Amino acid sequence: MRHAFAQHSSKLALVTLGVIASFTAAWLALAADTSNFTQTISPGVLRVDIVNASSSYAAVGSPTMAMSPTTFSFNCVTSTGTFSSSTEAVYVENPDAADNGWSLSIAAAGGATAVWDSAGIDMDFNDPTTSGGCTTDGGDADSLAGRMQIDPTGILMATGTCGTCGTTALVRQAAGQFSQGVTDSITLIQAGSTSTDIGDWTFRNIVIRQSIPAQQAAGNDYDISMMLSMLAS
Amino acid sequence: MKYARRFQNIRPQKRAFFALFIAAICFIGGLTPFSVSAVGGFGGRPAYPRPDNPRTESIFVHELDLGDVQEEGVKLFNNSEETKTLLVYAADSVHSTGGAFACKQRGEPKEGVGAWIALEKTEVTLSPGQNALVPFTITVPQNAGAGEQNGCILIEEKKPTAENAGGGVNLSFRTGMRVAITVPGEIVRALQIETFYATKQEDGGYVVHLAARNTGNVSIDADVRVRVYPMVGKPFADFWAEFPVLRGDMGEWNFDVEKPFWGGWYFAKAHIEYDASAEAGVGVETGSVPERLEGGREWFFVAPSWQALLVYAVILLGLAFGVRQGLRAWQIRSWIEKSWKPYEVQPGDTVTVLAERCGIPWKMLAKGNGLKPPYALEPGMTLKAPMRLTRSSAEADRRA
Repeated sequence: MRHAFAQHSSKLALVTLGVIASFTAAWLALAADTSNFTQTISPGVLRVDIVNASSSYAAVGSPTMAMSPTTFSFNCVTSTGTFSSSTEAVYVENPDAADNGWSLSIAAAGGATAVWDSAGIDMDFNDPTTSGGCTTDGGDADSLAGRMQIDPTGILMATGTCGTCGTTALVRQAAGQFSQGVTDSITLIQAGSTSTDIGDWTFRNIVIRQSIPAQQAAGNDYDISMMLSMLAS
Repeated sequence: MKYARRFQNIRPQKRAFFALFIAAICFIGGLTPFSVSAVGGFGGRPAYPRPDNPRTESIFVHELDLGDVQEEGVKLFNNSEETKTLLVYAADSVHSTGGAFACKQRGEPKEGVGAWIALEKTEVTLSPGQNALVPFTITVPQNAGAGEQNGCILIEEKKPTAENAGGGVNLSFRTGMRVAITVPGEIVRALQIETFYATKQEDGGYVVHLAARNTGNVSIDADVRVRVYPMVGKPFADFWAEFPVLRGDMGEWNFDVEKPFWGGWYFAKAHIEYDASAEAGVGVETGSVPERLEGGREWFFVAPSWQALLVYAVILLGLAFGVRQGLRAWQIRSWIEKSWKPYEVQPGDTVTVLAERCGIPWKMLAKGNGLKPPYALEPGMTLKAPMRLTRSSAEADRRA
């Protein structure tokens, strides 16, 4: 009985296989008569993002970075923050779009006249004036004090999902401070011509230090928009 | 036939399952369309790259005279999986730290090449996988100076600026391409090395810093090479890359030198080569002998790792032990040569007995006289001994 059932199943499977093979052959024959297989691969473009590097490299929707909280002080203080964490990283992709190298830089999205915006008193990010070791107003057109430093010297570079790319010829730049009209952009990474033309990389541990002037008004809403630019050079 | 026989030999139940499995694979394979999922970003590329200049595949390069109008185009791509509205705009280039190429922001006033560019569209909405051409013109004003001027074509996604309720830094992203316009006239291509030094890092490694200033009026593609050597031997590290140094800017490069395991004195050597010919340009090499700038030598000391220190300590201990043994051997040899007196072997003398009478180890006596195993002594042989032995061992025994 069992043997008979097995034989029956076997025949049924062979019949199914035959029917499907016939349909597939007919479909392929029709397809061959009526169309060619075509495929388009769009050229890649440079990409820079903050991604979840721990798993999927999915872009983080509205990336923000919190600075370390400080307290109102009669002395100047420094607040620090770090772009990217153990799970998030700055991600760049060069899919053969910048053959002779590229640069990754950061600047205020509002340009040289941008400020740390607050419902109360704003704060500057690019006033180079100091007095007694503290940032003060005076080096630019606005009447605000404060200065931001970007420190890429401790950047942790890693390759992304590419198979054979490396970090050769990716050069970390020195720490830099914004100064209105003089240093409006700070380079994080410069990739030379010998860097891999087709590759993707993650960068972690980019440190931001904001010098807060003495007696800066307290507020929990100081924010500034920064632009990360990846440029073919 | 062979495979058919094997198929027949399989048990009927297994055969049925196997056949169904193959049928399912065929069915799924036949019905599933060939698809490539594209996951990527959005951005642009030059629409009209020129075969005579490979750099034009990545950036816009033109030599334009005063008043010239150049038609160009940027092709925008949306390789992401969402519909995107892209802002495309021109901007002036701006100095960035390290001399790298950078661009001003969208809202900033344009005075240079950014103002020379007129785009037909500034906003394009693209479905996933779609692309679009945005034509633009570059018009060189009559008062443009000779030499190279740089600007940018930039692409960013149109979206409202995120307000960070808790305060902090909101991040936006953009990509872009350099627009390098050379206006004919007196072209000066000159580069000079400004600084070359090494600085120690917290992890014990070093960073070798090299900076070169462009004193001409066009950008220069500088072949930068830095090699780090130990005191003796092949290079420990070798860095080489070509970087553009923009007009009036200073290119600065930091090369990380990992802490060498063995430590010691190292020196870094640097040189920069570039095409100094006035006919050279962005992506155009004349093939002439390159100008070579030497950065000199920069010495630095690197402390060894603790494992290397351990190895060094063992070697030093071994050396000290060897020196001590050598010194002792030399002292003994010198003592034998100066103080040992000749003695004629008498019947009954043995090496051990004579050594005991002299108060030295028998091996020393044997070695001092060049005796080989089995150290047998023949009466009448002359030996050297550390004291004048006047009697034979047997006589000495009797007297004792």
